[in-house]
Amino acid sequence: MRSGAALFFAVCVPLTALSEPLPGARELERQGGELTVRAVGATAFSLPAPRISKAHRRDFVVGKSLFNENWVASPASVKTRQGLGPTFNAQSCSSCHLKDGRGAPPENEGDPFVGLLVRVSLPGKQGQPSVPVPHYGDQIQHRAIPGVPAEATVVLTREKKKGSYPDGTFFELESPRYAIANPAFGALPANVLMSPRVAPVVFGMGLLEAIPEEALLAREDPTDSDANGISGRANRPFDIAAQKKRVGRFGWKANQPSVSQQNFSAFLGDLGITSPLLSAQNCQEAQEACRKSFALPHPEIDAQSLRQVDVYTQLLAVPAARNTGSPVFQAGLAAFRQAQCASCHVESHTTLPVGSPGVLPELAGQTIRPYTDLLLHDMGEELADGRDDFDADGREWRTPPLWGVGLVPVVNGHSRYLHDGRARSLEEAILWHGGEGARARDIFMAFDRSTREALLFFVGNL
Amino acid sequence: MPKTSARMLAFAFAFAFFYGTPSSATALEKSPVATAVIAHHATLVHATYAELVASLELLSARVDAFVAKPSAASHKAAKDAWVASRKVYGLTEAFRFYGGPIDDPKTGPEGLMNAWPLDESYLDSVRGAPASGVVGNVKAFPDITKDVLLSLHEKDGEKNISTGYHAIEFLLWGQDFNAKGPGQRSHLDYVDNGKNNATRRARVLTLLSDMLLGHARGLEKAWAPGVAGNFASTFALLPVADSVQKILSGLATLSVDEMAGERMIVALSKNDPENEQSCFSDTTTNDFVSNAQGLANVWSGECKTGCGKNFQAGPGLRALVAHREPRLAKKIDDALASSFRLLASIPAPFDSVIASPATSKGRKKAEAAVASLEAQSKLFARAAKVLGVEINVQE
Repeated sequence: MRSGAALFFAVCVPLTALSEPLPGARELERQGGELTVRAVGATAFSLPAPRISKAHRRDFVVGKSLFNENWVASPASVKTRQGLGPTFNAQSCSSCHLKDGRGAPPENEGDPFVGLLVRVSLPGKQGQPSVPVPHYGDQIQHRAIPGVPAEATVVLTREKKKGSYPDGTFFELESPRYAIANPAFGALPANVLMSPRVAPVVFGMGLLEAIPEEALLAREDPTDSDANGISGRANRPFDIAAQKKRVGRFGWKANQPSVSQQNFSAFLGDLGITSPLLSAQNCQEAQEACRKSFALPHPEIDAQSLRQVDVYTQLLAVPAARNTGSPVFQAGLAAFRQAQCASCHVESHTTLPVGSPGVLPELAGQTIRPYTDLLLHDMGEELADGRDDFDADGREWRTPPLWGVGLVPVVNGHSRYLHDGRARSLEEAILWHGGEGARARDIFMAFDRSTREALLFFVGNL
Repeated sequence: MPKTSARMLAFAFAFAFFYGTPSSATALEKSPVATAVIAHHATLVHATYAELVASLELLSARVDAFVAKPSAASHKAAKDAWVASRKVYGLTEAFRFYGGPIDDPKTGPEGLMNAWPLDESYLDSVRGAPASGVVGNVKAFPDITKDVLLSLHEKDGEKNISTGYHAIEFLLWGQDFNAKGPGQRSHLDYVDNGKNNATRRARVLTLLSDMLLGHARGLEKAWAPGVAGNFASTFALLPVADSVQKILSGLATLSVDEMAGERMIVALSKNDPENEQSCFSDTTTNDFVSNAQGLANVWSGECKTGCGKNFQAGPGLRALVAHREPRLAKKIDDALASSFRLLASIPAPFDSVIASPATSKGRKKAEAAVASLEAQSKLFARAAKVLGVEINVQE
């Protein structure tokens, strides 16, 4: 307890400088509103919303099964789980989003990629959007059903990168490099753009989808008119169901406007499962065996099953924050604010009111603390993938929610963070911040050790 | 930054009291009852796995006899042994869902033994793809070995389901395109006619039976009494509350998530007749009944079948709950009995039930069983509260 007390004393000065009062311990704990569960074990991300309706409970159970169990190549005996591939990255949603949690890059160079995929494209001409890679499309599917060649494999290498805090403490980061090997349809052009992305956590998506669009847009500041070094703008991807552009909310570049589109796009892109709105197999012209392989005459997942997966992903409960009443947690939040982390990792939102169209009743009218603005920010050269994605440019990433990040080690057995999982801890994730996040990173680095630890304690208990 | 992490950990411990300790019940402590319950649980688990090993030794022997001399009779004998062994396996599913030897995240063989749905076309020819799988693709798999089968199962760091009970089931029964009965594979699939890959199929079947037996032996060893360093020896040393938490998590999760949810609600909601666990042999209703029996065994500490002749009943988890709240223990007795009765009343084969209209008798029985299993899991959640442990199943 001595170190805890000393730490509290050390950070009390910045604490008094803050204008906005800290929320109470219970409010901090219930970060998913009424969808919060107190759960700390391996299933902390996998529980249904506590007040799930009876009808949704059934959908949830079926959706969970469709999410977790393998899809198999057709023709198979099981009619409702067939149609895998022809090319794919994974056989089930859960193989990457294991236990509804986060994926990670391969631990060792040369290990297979599970939970990390690579999007590809070629630069567009004269400022035009980038285009899919001939023969390969926009994602490397590194696996395929028997008789069909996989597209290619991705090889990861890492370089060390050293640095130190102003107080002299050293650190070492690992910077990943990606290369494409074993291309089945000819070498990819040298100017190919690659965007590696790990599978993010699944819970809480329904709540993020229910944040009013105006509330997100109100925070846009594309020209940084308030001169705080932070711009922030919404991505506006194409909504296939609505047939128009809409504000993006999901994916590392906010390139998906809805939970539903996120899900059916992942079914096709990652598993090779066709659906009513994306009914063509993902086989490029040059991929003959892929095109000629056995195909069912109907979408491989039907509208009802998709809706059940949507309900599942929308109504997964948010794990409660831990130790929210402790002085060190509160000091950490104060430091989080002082470092201006909360400018992008916006603490709190309120979801649309009950009765709003398209919002499940369980998700409406909730005050939540996801710690995100869902907007795009320039994160600097080192994190840049150089690949645009709708309105997001090659340096921009969506602010990821922070709720639950501290439970990733418990659920998924690793502490890999950021879009490609390069950070080996929350601390490294902060140190990688650049661009609009550079100032927050610098303030964090300039904190004394106990304040840094308090901040990490806070984030690690979300 | 090891120093940082150590200090963080210290904080985490220092402030742990702010979170998570249930206040409604005093935590379980070592007591004669608790110690006896935990010791007897290990005995029961071990006895069941010993029976599983015996049942799989018989399956292996029958498979060997079948492939040595394929006939309708030797085929049936092998299938009968599979059905018998599967009934024992169903009992052991009550030992899942808490990271024990069966589903330890790193070493547990559950996926290798029981995963579903099967990637049929990874294993053997299927309708529409006659030269498919390990059996059919001579060029890709010139030699069939255990390692080949294992590497396929774990290919690319992921699981292709091509080993275990359902793989063997597929090789014995074949694809089921028949809503009225099981798959109709003939024993002639194992008689070489120069083009049906019978020898290769026989080799895969033999290897898979041996592998399954090997995994079962591993589980028996993990729970064997008096073996230093095995799971049973560490289980005995856990704080009482931790052991109880594990046992209860297994009971509640199997009841609601697996049996009611995964195996019944999903199947019933999809109207997909083969969306059932043991779809090739049409013995899914056996799975239901033996799962229910497995739950009752763990709860009561008794084991009428599936634990061997020498097994003696002892105190189950029931004893602990009854010690604190006798009425709740009685309620759980009744719920388990009701679930068992309802599950046993579902007409076989289950694929016909799935295909029948919602108003059919079979469907109504199945729905009633689901409701009973859900109610039962809530009672287990209440028992957790009474015993002062947290399980991730809601009351």
